[in-house]
Amino acid sequence: MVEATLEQIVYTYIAEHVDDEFDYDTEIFEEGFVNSLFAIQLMTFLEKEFAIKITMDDLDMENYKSVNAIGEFVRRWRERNVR
Amino acid sequence: MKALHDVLTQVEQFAAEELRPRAGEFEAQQEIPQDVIISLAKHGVLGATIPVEYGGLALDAIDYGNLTETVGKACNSVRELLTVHVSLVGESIKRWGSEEQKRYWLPRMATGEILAAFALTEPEVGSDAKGIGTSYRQEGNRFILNGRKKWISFGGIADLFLVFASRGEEMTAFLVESSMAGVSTTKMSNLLASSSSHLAEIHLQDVEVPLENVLSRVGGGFAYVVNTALDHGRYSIAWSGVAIAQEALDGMVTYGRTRKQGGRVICEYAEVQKMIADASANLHAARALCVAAGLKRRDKHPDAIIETTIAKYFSSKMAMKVATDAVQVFGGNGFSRDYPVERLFREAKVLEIIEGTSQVLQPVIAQHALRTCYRKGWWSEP
Ligand SMILES: Cc1cc2nc3c(=O)[nH]c(=O)nc-3n(C[C@H](O)[C@H](O)[C@H](O)COP(=O)(O)OP(=O)(O)OC[C@H]3O[C@@H](n4cnc5c(N)ncnc54)[C@H](O)[C@@H]3O)c2cc1C
Repeated sequence: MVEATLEQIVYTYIAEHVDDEFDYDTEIFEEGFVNSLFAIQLMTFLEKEFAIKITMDDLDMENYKSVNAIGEFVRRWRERNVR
Repeated sequence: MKALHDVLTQVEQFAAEELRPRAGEFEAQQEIPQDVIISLAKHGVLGATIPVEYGGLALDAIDYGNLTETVGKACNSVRELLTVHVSLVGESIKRWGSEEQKRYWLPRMATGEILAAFALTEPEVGSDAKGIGTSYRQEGNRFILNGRKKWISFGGIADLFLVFASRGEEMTAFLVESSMAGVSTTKMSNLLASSSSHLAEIHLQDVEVPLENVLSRVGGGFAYVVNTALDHGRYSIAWSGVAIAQEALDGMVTYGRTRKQGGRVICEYAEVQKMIADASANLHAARALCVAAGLKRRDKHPDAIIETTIAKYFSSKMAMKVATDAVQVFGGNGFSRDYPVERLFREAKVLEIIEGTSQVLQPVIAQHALRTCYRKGWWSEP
């Protein structure tokens, strides 16, 4: 079995909360797929799923705008915190 | 640090001896006396969920829920202080504060040196929080705030306000000290309940707030701070409903077992038992929702937010119903200030209004159900 990529995990989670079709580049907040309350929920999910801790410095909405952006953000976070 | 169990036992004793007997008196005098606030701080209540390194008790969600119930059962207004100081402001600073902000504010809040209030609502803006009119503009490293906040619990005595202001579409959260030039408050009175919760209007006139007093980031006021704060606030209100309902049920039962009519104690009448049974079953259900939400919160589960919303919605309505029935069981005495249930009846109402009215939460809960309970192709259309 192939392990799900980070993006796939994030996509699956968001898809559970969105009825419309979207892809890895869809700007989910900008295009109104989810509301702002979902931002907090999404952050909680990311923290738990990927064992990261989102702090004030990570609050740029750019980090969460799409599945690909989230994937990049989580990787950057991990790299930053491994060292 | 004192063992957690000892802390909770001591708070229970304090609530029984110092809060419950005086709750009516606080309302009549329209204030929570300073000695009570000092005692709350001494027992660690004001730093309930603040991490130990910042001088708090670091209670987890379940213990904090139990603490909220203990305090709320005895005195709703003191519980309101917990909601705003710990849940709305303390948790927001804990989650989104910079290390400097946490180190500065949290220990002072835990000792009660500083009392904090949450200032979102305005005379013209409540449910539609995104539409606030309090404004800010930036001048170098300072922000200039102008506007008016209304319905701010403990606004009359707080030293720190978590103020939300907007610049066009953007909203930012500011830590505003009551001592800053241009800040003034007006006490609100003639209220249905919460007379001792020091409700106030806050006036902000050209208040200069330094950049280091921005909580989270400029523009992050709604998405991060309001949402986080209200989520914690809803959890607190859910337990507050349990508190009021438990107190009302205790009253109903105690009165029902002692009041005699027609030669029998009234609790022997089936109609009275129906009210007691409904109250008891609904209270159990609300408590179960609160515990379920609490466990998810403790586990940092993403569904904690919706579970908390459901718990708040159900528990606040349940508290109103149980308090109403409690007045009914007390009959004419339910109307009298000599008995506590009329106060519970008045106090329950606000739970359906604050931290998102029932009407505002309904579509949120419905959307969740519409998404999670849809079964495609469950049956074929005839
Ligand atoms: C005792 C007390 C303490 C408070 N403490 C604080 C505090 O510490 N800090 C703070 O910031 N605020 C506080 N508030 C204010 C409180 O949060 C607001 O009253 C609440 O958000 C509702 O706003 P509103 O009063 O403007 O009512 P409105 O928003 O005007 O609502 C009026 C009615 O319209 C309904 N309604 C509004 N919008 C919708 C919608 N979109 N869909 C369906 N129905 C809708 C509501 O459900 C309600 O029934 C307090 C209020 C009280 C009474």
